[in-house]
Parts: sequence; structure tokens; C-alpha cells
Amino acid sequence: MDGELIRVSGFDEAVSLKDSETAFFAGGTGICYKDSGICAKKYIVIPDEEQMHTVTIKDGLVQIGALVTFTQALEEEAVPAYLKEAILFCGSLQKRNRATIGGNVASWRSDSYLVPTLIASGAKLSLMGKEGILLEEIGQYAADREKYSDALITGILVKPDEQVQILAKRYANTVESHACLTIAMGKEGDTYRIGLAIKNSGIFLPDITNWGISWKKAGVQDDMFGSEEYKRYLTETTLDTMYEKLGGEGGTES
Amino acid sequence: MKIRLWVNQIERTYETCASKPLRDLLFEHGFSAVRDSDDYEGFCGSDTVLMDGVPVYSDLVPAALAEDTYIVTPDGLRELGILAASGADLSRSFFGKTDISAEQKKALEQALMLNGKSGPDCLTVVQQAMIDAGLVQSAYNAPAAALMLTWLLVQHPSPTRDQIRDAMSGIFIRDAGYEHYYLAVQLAKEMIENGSSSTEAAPSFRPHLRIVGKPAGKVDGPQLVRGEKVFVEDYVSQDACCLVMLRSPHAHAYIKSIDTSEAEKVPGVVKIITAANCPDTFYMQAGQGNPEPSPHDRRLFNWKVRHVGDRVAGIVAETKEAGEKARDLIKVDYEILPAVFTVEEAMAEGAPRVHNGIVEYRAGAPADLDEYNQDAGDWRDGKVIYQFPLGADIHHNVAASNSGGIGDIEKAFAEADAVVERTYQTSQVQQTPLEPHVCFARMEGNRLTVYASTQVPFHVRRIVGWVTGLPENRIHVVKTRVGGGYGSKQDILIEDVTAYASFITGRAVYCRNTREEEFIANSTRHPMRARVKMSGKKDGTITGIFMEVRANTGPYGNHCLTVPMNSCSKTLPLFKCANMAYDLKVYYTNTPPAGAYQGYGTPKGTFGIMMVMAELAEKLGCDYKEMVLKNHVETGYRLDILKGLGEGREGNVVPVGSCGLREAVLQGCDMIHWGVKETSSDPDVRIGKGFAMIMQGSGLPGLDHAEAIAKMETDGTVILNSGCADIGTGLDTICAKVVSEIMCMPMEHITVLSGDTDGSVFDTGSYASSGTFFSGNAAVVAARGLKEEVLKEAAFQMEEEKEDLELRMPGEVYSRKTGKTLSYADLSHTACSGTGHGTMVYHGTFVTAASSVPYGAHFAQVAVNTRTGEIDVQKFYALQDAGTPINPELALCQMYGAALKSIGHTLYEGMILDKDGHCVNANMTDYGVPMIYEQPEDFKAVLIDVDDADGPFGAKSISEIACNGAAPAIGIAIHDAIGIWLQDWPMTPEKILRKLGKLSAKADT
Repeated sequence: MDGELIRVSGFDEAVSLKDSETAFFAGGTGICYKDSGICAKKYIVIPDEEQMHTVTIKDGLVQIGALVTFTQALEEEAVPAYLKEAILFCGSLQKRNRATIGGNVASWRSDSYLVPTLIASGAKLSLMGKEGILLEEIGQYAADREKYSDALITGILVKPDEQVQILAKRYANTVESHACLTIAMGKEGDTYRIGLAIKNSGIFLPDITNWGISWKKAGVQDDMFGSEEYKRYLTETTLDTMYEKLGGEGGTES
Repeated sequence: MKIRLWVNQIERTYETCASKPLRDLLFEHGFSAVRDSDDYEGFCGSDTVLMDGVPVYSDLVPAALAEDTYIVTPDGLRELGILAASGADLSRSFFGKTDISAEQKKALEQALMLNGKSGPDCLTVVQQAMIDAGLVQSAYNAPAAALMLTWLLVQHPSPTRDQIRDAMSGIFIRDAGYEHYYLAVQLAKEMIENGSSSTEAAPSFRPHLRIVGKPAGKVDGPQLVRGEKVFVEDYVSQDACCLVMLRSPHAHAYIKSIDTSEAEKVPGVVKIITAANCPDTFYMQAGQGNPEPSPHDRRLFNWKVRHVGDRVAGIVAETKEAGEKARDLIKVDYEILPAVFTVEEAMAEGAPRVHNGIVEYRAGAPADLDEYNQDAGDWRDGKVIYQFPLGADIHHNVAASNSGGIGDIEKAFAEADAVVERTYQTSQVQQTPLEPHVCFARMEGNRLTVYASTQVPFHVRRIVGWVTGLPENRIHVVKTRVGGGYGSKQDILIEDVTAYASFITGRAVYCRNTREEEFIANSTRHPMRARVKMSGKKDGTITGIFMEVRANTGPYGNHCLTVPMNSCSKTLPLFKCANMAYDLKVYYTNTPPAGAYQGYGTPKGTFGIMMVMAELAEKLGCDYKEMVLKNHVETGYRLDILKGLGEGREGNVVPVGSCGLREAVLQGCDMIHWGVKETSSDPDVRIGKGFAMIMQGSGLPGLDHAEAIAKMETDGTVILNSGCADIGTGLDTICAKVVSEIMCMPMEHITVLSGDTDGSVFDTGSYASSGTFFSGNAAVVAARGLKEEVLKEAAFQMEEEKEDLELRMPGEVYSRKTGKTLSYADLSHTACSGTGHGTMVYHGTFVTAASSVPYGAHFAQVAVNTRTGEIDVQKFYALQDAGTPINPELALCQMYGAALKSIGHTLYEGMILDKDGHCVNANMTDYGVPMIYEQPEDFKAVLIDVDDADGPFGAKSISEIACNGAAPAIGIAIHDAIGIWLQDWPMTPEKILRKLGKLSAKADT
């Protein structure tokens, strides 16, 4: 990791210092990793305040502090099982001990462990920007990442297992390899949501009600993780299976 | 900034940059067991520490964030065990807090319990358990693994299998696999509960022997598992310069000019070595016997670069940073040439010539050589010098070729009831030793000392001698402990240039490859295309086998003949077949270099030949198992096929010696319930079974050579100076055990000093599965000679007849006639006290024409998802005849490690090059290697008990053969599951889907 590591007195200072040449520093597993692709002049260590480390239930939602580590989340009873399943996509214990829920969302990697599941579950993000505090649907956050580029994620709000059904699947050569494809489908009432992370292609939120058009528009590329044809086939067949398991009818074909 | 932290319970304050990785800070301050295997990739786990009781990768933690924390490093475990025994409060170090429960306190004390031994053998029970389980081998990660198991037992005193797997989830082990980590936890628990362990780590062999064939630990186990300073990097002096390499961005180009003037101005730059100022000496880097069956086709730096990552300049600088800064200032003007990356491209008419210089022969030059050389190209192509003819034609990119056979293959095919002919392709895979290639060299007076992590110290000395011009008496090679080799450290890949840099600058010089350099600039497995044709009769008799091998040696010809030869010489002799033929050609290309890799050419040949056999069985309507049993060789069968399959000379035609092949097949079939179809509850999943026969060698008869000197010290203890190179496999222990057995004395009274060219006598080194057979036999010869010397001297001192004397435990001479005894201590003291005959010593040399071949069979059960193409290896059984396994617990772990490695090769490992020859997955995460989660849930290694006439106490080789079975076993199992035959590695889900017609038939990405 090149660049200066700076500590700040609190959220306000952290947010005020954030610009295009700085990055927030959470657990460090993404930033210190040599091929992280994150290159900043300064890294702002996220203030170590209690709310960032706690898991609480509020208004029927599970509120997870952004600095809650993967390991801590696995130990918290309130964290829904579907999110724990996604956390365990990260095989290495040492990484889970440092990786944070907020950091994984903020890095928005195309092989993200958590983002597809969070999208599928309809999670919300608690953000702190120069304009103040925001509560945003993760879908909205995904749609306009530029808008939130300087905002600090302070928490993630997820629905408990009783409110939403989630199926998720990660395809990778090995547990520790970068995922070729991470897919999650959620069902909440009659609403279905899909979260896709396709390595080197991006994170996608195809609209299931308009599947054919939105999926066609997704730019999926050939690379060392597989051909476009393979990734599309795998995505479609996996979603079909998930849709069927969640009680849907017709699948991607229709 | 200054930070304060507690390391292994001791408060320390360090001046550091805030963003410096914690690992670097700790390593710089002497905690050398906090190692780095992946250049801050967060993959291998060598950098694991506990931070306030939490395991973390210290590579990924900025030092500033460790302020006021309690750190435990792997090398602190024993001291913490001693502290715990004295009642110290270690709660902060292991729980991150002081208010722990009584149960937690008890768990902490128990996990850090000591083994009851003193001095250098004092270990924690976990460390002891790891040695007992056979896990401490090359051991670069063993201390980190011990830390994780200790942490596990602190958190979970009776861990489940899942908890053990989770604790090991971030530690990469390449040599010993992961299966015995479950055993180690069991052994540690037993030691905690009962003071000793009762579970056997491995079966024992040869009841009449005292220590050979019994699990007895490893002589260097304690120092390795404790994390002592035993690797090359631990010998580097403070004043050492760094050697930084400028590498080619092009796959094929002439260097038109190279300007180092700006770079030389960088403060701290000592010397820049390029093609313009390096010696005009052509050599090769393969660590093989001299004269080598590899062409001398390179200089230290060439005027032509032949692969992305080829050496362009070496910068010797006071610091790495200065070297890297200078590297960026070197201006190189390249004339880019068209490149070839596959054998098909290399063999095409008019293909660019990878080597196009003058060809010379040290012996056996063809009559038309002058004419041939008239077609040589630019002077910058240099030369290719053959030690003897290898069937080369560099104008067509052929580095070597050979063909031959027995019987009448065409007649066999013509008369057969069925013939199957298929072409198989294998990918370029990398050894990925945890310790990358490292070398430290320094001048001592007029002598050059080279600390090397090598399998071949004497070959290193010879080649360093060629490069520097120094005679061998002025070169001292010290083989340190080797943190993983697997063939890659059979080649002299950085020792040549590091030693030369020290020699010309007079400075101590250190060179350490980055992980990326390991991929792009080291040796790899030769990618290979094997066309195999096999014929048979309806009764299952195989009547003919033909193998056509086309191998890719990359830019240089290291092992170019012998690796492909192995594809045939270690596969065809599995069969009782009168008609066999082979034709092999090896091509130069512009891929990253190829070289030796555990298994050598055999895994690729075995893949093709066993897959074809399974397909032929199906075509003939025969049961595959019955066909195997009908056609495999047995003891006494004369192997005429070997005549043409020597290492560049005529091979030894010998009958099959000891052979446990049939027993391996039969026992494995019973274990896996061969013939019973398994089903899955998932309708998309099909289950299948497969197996493959395997064989290897035990060194190279008629070529390999090993020596050892056994010497009795004045107190009756013995030092064995062995030329052997223990690369973590326990060769020193083998030597100690055979001496102990022959001399009737305890292991602890024997020290093996090995791998030091000043302190020992010649040995060709550890490759070709030669260690146990050759170096072990040299130790046997030396010990038997010493025994004779002892009996002779004792007869003199005791005034008795030698024939009446015998050796007895624990190291004494006993007279059967008079009942008198004389201890070795008294005997040796007297021998050197002015009245005796001096030190009792014997110099043993071992050479042989005999060949002890290990055999085996590997079995796989796979579940294939027909919807997604995913393959799950549910079961893998490795059954091998290793003769007498001298270290059975180490042998089992080597089988697990090698088999798992080849499961990785079979399913996902493979270097991927872009169209310009850049490797796009030159890191551990993208390349992908098996971690504990990839291990088959049901994984068994079984030693078939077969004694051998020629091996030391009946031993044969063990680990290399274990690389050979996975690909065909899995490939056959996939066919059994879903009816498709895959013909290339890696067998990815995408390929499965294409074969199933779920994706178009276009080439895979």
C-alpha cells in the first residue's frame, strides 16, 4: 500500500477530507492487497466509534455497523443466515477477521462476496456525506456510484430472514480464487430481486420483470475466468434454478 | 512514527512508517518466522500472526494499526509455552482481553503445554504433534500452521473437523497436504489429556528393524516448526545489496541498444549487468548431471529476449528501492520479432525461429554442421551448444527429439479388434513453492559463498563456476533449508546471476524473486500434446501402444529431452505389451520457461495412456479393472522398451523388480467399491469412479551418484557428511535412521550434515526421485563401512577376533565369545588418544545399474453437475508401493501433498497467456491452488507393503509418483459419471458444458 495513512478525530473530519485522491480505510484487506487497484495519496482510517462495530435491530431491520468484521457478523445472532452464507464465500479465516461489511460494499468489486446478496435482499446503506446523513437503497447506490463516491458507509441495514428469502451461489475455481460469478436472488412477498457480480464485467441488478432486455444490455466479457457465453449460460441456468426454488414460474426463458 | 506494541508478551517500541505492513516491521526486527510467500496478496498465510488474539495476515495490516496491541508470532510459541508453564498471564495475547473465564484460562494453558523435553527439543504439544503427524516438511508455513492450531485449541479445546478446517482455511500448504492436520489436532489433544499420544500417525513396517520404517519424527523438525532462522533469507547480512531484475516486456525481440547511464547515477547503485558486460559464456540452468542432456543456449543476459519476463539487466544496489528506481531509468530499444507460443505455431512452416544462432556440439557433431550454420541468423541470437546430439533442429524450433520402440506396432494395430487414438493436451502449471527462489552470495577472501535454496548444491557450484570462471575449490555452496522445491529448485535460476553479481562487485548480494517472477521467469511444467494410439483384442489384451509427444520447452531448453522422454519411459513400462513405439519432439517457443516439476513428464504421459486405455476398454466391451489386471507388468517382466528411453543415451533394459501394482489396484477397487454405481439426491448431479495405474523411478541408474562420509567422533557419536540435499522431504532423517539402524545407536547420537559443498562429498542432488534410493544407499554404504572400521578397531583394542564381535544398542561393541563390552565412547576416545589408529571413518559411494520402481494406483470418485459443469472430487485414494517407507508418516503426507497438487492441475491450475505472451494470472489468487477447502472430503493415502532388493532397507521413492494419477483417475471418473471424455487439463466446468453440448463447440477461453 502506497500512500499516507491518516487518523482523524471523527466522522466529520473523515468526510471533510474525502476527495478523489483519498480513500477510506476500513479493515485493509482490500486496500493493502497488492492488486487491489485502489491507489490513493491518503488513506483515511475510518473512526473507530462504537456504532461502527455493533449490530442492532431497529424498526424491524438489522443494522450492521460498517466496521463489523466478517467474523463478528458470523458470531452475531441477529445477522440473517443468508448474509452469513455470503460471508462464508470468503474462505480465509484471517481475511474474515479483518474484512469489514462496509469495506466489502464500498470496494464494489466485481467478485464481491456480499454485494449480490445485499442487492437481492434489498438492503439499505447508511451513508455520511458532506451533505449529511443519508439512508439509501443499495440499488440506488449502485445506480449512481459517482454520486456517493465521497460518502462514508457507516452501516448496512438488512432484512431479517423472516422477511426475505435469499438464494446465493458463487462460482470460482477454488474458494480462495476470485469468483467468476456471484449470483443472488431474493424474494420478498411477490417481489424478486437479482444481484450479479461478474468478474471484470461489473455488478448488475437486472430487472426480473424485464429480464430479457436488462440482461442483454449487461456487458459481459470473455476473459481468463470464462467466456461470455459461459458466464451468461451459468447466470441464466443458476437464476432459473433459484427462481424455481423460490417458487417462481417460467424462469429466464420466459 | 513511533509505535508501541507487545510482541510475544514483551513490550517493544519501534520507529516506523504508519503504512508499512506489520509483517515487514516484525521481520525487520528479527521475527523471521513471519514470512511472506505472496507479496502482500493475503493468500498463503506465511505472514499470519495473532493480533490481540485474532489471527490476521500481517501483510495486510499497516503497522500503525497494531499500536498498543498484543502480537503473537509463530516463532514465539515455545517461549510463550514456557511462560504459560511458569504461570504468566497470556490472556491479552490470545484473547485480546484480561477478563477471561476459568475455562478459557485452562484452554490457553493446555494449548501451550510443553512436550516435556528440554533444550532444543522443547516444543509445545502442537508443534510436537505436527512433527509426529509428518506435517513438518519444507516447512516454510509450518510455524504459521502451528500458530493457527494453537489458536484453535485455545478457542475450541475439542474442535470439530469443520473448526479445524476453518482454522487452516488461510494457510497454503503445498508439500504435505492438509489431511494430517486433523491428525495433528488429535495427537495434540491426546498429549494434553494423557501426557503422550497413542494414535499412530502412520503404520510401521519391518518389525525386525528398530527404527527404519517406523514413525520417529524428523531430525530437523523442531527447528523448522519453531520457526528458527534456517532459510536463505535468514542468512542475509545487513550490508547485502539487492539484485533487482529488469525484465523483458516482449515475448521475442532483439535488444538494439541498452542505455544504463541515467540508472547508474541513482545513489546506491553499485553495478548494472547487461548483455553488454556479462561473460560471453553459454550455459544452461537445468541442474542435471554433466554433460547435461539440455542445450547450452543462454548467457547470463542475452542480446535477444525470448519471453516476457526474460532477463534484460540486473541492477545491484544498496537497497531494493534504489534498484527499482534505477531499473525504471534504463532505456532499452527493442526490435520486436514475431513470436510463437504453441507447438503448433512453432512447428509451422516458416515459423519465427526462437533460437537462430550458431549450433555447436561438444561431442557427436553431425557432418553437415557447417552447412547448417550457414543459415544462422543475427549474431544477437547467440549460440546453442549441445553436449551430445539430442535430435535437435533449431531452424525448425526443435530443441530435441527421439523415437523408437519394440515389436511391430503397425501390425499390432492392423490385427487388433479395436483401436483408439486420441490427442491429449496439458497446460502450463507452476510449482508455487511457498518460499520463492532466493539466493544470497558473498565473497569471503578469494572464495565465493553462495547460500542457496536448491535441490542440487553441487550442480549450482559447477554452473556458478562456469559463469564466474572460478574453479570449484573457490566456490562454497551452502544449501539451507528449502521452503519448497518440487523440481523448480533443481534449476539454477537465480543463483547464477546472484553469485556473479557478488563476484564482480565484491559485495554481498541478495536476490529474491517476486511471486510474479516465480510465474513468468522460472520453470514450469512443459505444456504437452500427447497423441496416444492403443489397440487391443476382445479378451482385453493390449496389443499395441504408440505415443507421439509434442512438448513445449519455452524459450530455453532446460530438461527439453528428458521431460518428454519421461512421458514415455514412466508409462509404457506399465504394460506387458510386445509392440510399443514412441515419437517425441520438443519445441522452442516464446512462453515462460519450462523445466523440472515433480512428476517430470510422467503425469502428462499417464494422463494420455490411461485415458486411452479406459476408452479402449469401453470400445472392446471389457471391464476396465479386468483389463488393467490383465495387462500390467509383474515382477520379472523384461522391460525391453527402456532400451531407447535413457536420458540422452541408451537406457537400462531391466526386468521389473519389486512391484506392488496389482495389490494397489485390487485394494483400491475394494476401497472405492469399484463397479458399484453411486447416485446423488440432486437430479442434476451424476457420480462416477475412475482410477489409474502409476509408476515412477528411484533416481537415474547409471547416471546418479551419491556419497557420504560416516565419522565417529571422540565421544562415540557419529557425524554423517552427506552430499544429499534434503529439500524438506526428510532425507537427512532417512540418512540418520539408516546409520542408527546399522550402527546400533540412538538417533540423537547421529548428526547429518548435508548439502554443503565444502563439508560433504559429491551427490548429484535431489531430483528424479533419487534422494532415498541414492543418497540413502550412500549413507548405508558409509555406515556399513564405519561398522567394519569400528569392529576392526574394537578387535584391536579388546584383543579379540573381529568375527566374535557385534554392535549393540545403545552404541557398544559386544564380544559373543567373552561377553565383554566396549562403548563407542571408550573405543573412539582410545582410538584418538595416541595408542589407537585414529578416527574411524568411512567414505561411502553409491552407484548402480539397478532400478527400484515405485508403483501404485490412484482412485477418484467425482460428482459432476450436468447443469453447471461443476466437478466435486468426493473421494480420492492414493495407494502406493514405496518399498519400505523409511519415514512412513512423512511418506503419507507427501502422497497427500502431491496428489492434491495434481488434483489442482487437473481441475483448475494453469498459466494463461494473452496474445502477446503476458501471463495474466501470475499471482496465487488468480492462478488458484488447492487450499484445505479443495481437499476431497474422503482422502486416503495407503502404503502398499512391498520390500525391494535394491533400495536402502528395501525403500523406493515416494512423492513424485503421487503426481501422476489424478488427471486420468478424475478424467475416467468424469466419463463414468456423464459419459464424456475430456482430453485436456484443466478439466473446467466450461469444458464440461461444451462437451455436454450446453455451450457451443468453440474453443475455450
